[in-house]
Amino acid sequence: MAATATAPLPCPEPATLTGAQAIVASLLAEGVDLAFGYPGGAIMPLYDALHETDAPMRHVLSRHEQGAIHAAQGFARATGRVGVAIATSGPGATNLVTGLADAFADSTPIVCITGQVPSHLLGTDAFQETDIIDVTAAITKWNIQVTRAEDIGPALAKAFHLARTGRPGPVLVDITKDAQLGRCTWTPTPPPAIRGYHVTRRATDAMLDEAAALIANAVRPMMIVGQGVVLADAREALLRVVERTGIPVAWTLLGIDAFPTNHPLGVGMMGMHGNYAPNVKTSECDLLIGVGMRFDDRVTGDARTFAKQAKIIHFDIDEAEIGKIVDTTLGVLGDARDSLERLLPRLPATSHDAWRASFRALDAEEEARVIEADLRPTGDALRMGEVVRAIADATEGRALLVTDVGQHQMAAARYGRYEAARTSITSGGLGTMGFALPAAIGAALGDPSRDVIAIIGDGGFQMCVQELGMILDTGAPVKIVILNNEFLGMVRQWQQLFHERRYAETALRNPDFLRIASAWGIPSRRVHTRGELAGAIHDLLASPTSFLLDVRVEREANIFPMVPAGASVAQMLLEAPE
Amino acid sequence: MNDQPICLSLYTEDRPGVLGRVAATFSRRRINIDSLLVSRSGIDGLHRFTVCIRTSERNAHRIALQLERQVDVVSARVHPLDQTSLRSLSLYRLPAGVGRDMTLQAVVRRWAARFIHTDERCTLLEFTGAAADAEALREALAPWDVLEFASSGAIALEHTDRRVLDNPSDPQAGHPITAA
Repeated sequence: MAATATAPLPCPEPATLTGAQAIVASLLAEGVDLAFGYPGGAIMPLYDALHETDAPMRHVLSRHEQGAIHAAQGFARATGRVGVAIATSGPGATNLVTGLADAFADSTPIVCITGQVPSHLLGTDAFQETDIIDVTAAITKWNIQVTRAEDIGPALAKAFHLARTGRPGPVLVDITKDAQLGRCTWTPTPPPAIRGYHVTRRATDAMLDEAAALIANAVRPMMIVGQGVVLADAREALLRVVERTGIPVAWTLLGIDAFPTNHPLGVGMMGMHGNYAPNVKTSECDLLIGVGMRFDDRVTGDARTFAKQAKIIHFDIDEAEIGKIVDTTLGVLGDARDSLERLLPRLPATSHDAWRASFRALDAEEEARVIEADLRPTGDALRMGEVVRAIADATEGRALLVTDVGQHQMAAARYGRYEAARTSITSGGLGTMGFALPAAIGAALGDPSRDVIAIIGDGGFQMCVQELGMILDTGAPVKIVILNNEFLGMVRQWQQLFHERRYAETALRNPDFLRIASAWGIPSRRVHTRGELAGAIHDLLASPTSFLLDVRVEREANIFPMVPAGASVAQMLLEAPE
Repeated sequence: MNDQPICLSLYTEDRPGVLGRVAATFSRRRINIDSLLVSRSGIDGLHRFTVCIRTSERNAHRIALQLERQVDVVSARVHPLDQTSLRSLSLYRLPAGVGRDMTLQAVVRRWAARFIHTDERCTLLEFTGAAADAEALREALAPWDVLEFASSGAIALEHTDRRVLDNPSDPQAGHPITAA
């Protein structure tokens, strides 16, 4: 930056910069102090500007662009700030696609900056040219191609504004090489007014009055809370509403840290591998209140049969979600915190003790038929559930658990403890194997004050294993726990249950994970027995650096309860059918 | 699921890529677009899309919300068809010389169509009206051998006194159109 900048950045005065320097200036103006990425031909001017700048911004080199974007996602979800990933054109840009789709599904605020071939080569099938705008249109909240240096500042200001406001999401800014090399006058750009974008809509008083009346008249109300509560910083407001009304609260996978795990009114996780009582009770409640969630098919099962007897109130910031899957009695459009805080004084103090107590009979059944065997198995083999619970107990629900996708993810959701917002990061909507390792690294670098523990299956660990290189570079003290059953466990479970045990391509011949860790300078331990577990977790948590546990768990254990795909949630299975 | 003719109008920012995002909103739900017309709207910097599809009314309103979720879509509205006039422009290419045929001239007058070009190679006829009428006219012209037929997508205006043009607020159009 020092080579040609006329003033230190960020600067209130107009400065003549190259387009690449303008990108750096815009990132600094947005408060970006950490970005993840991977250089290449069309993005080299930006990397040159990053190399030259003396501004306080750190770049972490991933080993694959997918690792960079997942790290940016982890950063964003741990901190609530916008994550940034940088890649070159062509394959660099297309390697971001999975992360963009993941961030779009899980409403994660990230801005991706991709290089692009010079503008005079656009549309000529030039080397490393991909039309990334069209490729990513369906999986970005917004995207834009910039071909002139002077447009970089306004484009990035709009990109960050869109990524972080309203329902957050991923935004991609594709910048041609000539735009990066061109010169412009850069000034700080305020958030733009956008005609088609309404972030200030609030629930009306009439909506809240109607919601309060429905709640006051309900005999068997229940609530399902999602990530929207965390995104809106509405956890406290939710707690006050729940404690005033005595309404039992279930959570979605992404809403797992929206409500204290062990609160007396918490009834567990909804959905395919959630808890028995809340799923069954959706068929008995007379009022269902969704807050910051989207009635995903993994939550509703067969939506045609979901909570048909109940009136439904849906609080959400995204109007397109209201009535999308289930018919709602009342949609309350707005920020969850604002809506809940204004709802609270309208609500009478009530209790639903008998209704809440009715969940407990089902809890007892789940405890006896599922949880007992998961947490206190009689066999020698370790179960995923007991490993997760041992970690949760050792960290008292304060650690940030980052999970991948599959059986270990469900075990972590069922048996982890989440006593604060942003204590869980997982790939929910897209279900991206390989997500957890780079996301955990991004989270640990974004919030060094947290204990970050990546719980990963042996399959998913190998999907982005190269990102151990980011740990080598940064010293990020990410704790890695591989729940290793030498299977793609969830797929194997479905093969067992629905494909007559034809285990097509799900058995894994794994490398020696300890030697893998060692190659990147990460200390590690293998755990075979229950007796070794506590000591190993102690070593894991006590390590000042990254540490890896390869925990051998029962090979063919299943995650129950389970709602078979497409079935009604009321048909939840507690064990495999005979 | 009770599919019926549906017509939506959108106001969108005039930006590259908007067309693709709008089209994908329909295609990912496997809804075929019967006609699509994009034009200037009369509001500075905004384009108007008129989209005709077949789906249920309920689905149509959900799609309108999905369209409005796009940052560059300012508003989306499903028109009540009994309170809306839809028109498209159709052109018919006929062999040279048929314009002198008195019977054809009578057909043209009856349909309020008009000849817009004639030379030694062909005769061009223009018709403005509903899509079904354009199709019926094509059949009526069959005896003179229609060599080619082209029709625009429909445009639509509702029978209402509300002011959209130059008015920053369009309270019935889903969401306000506010000045940038």
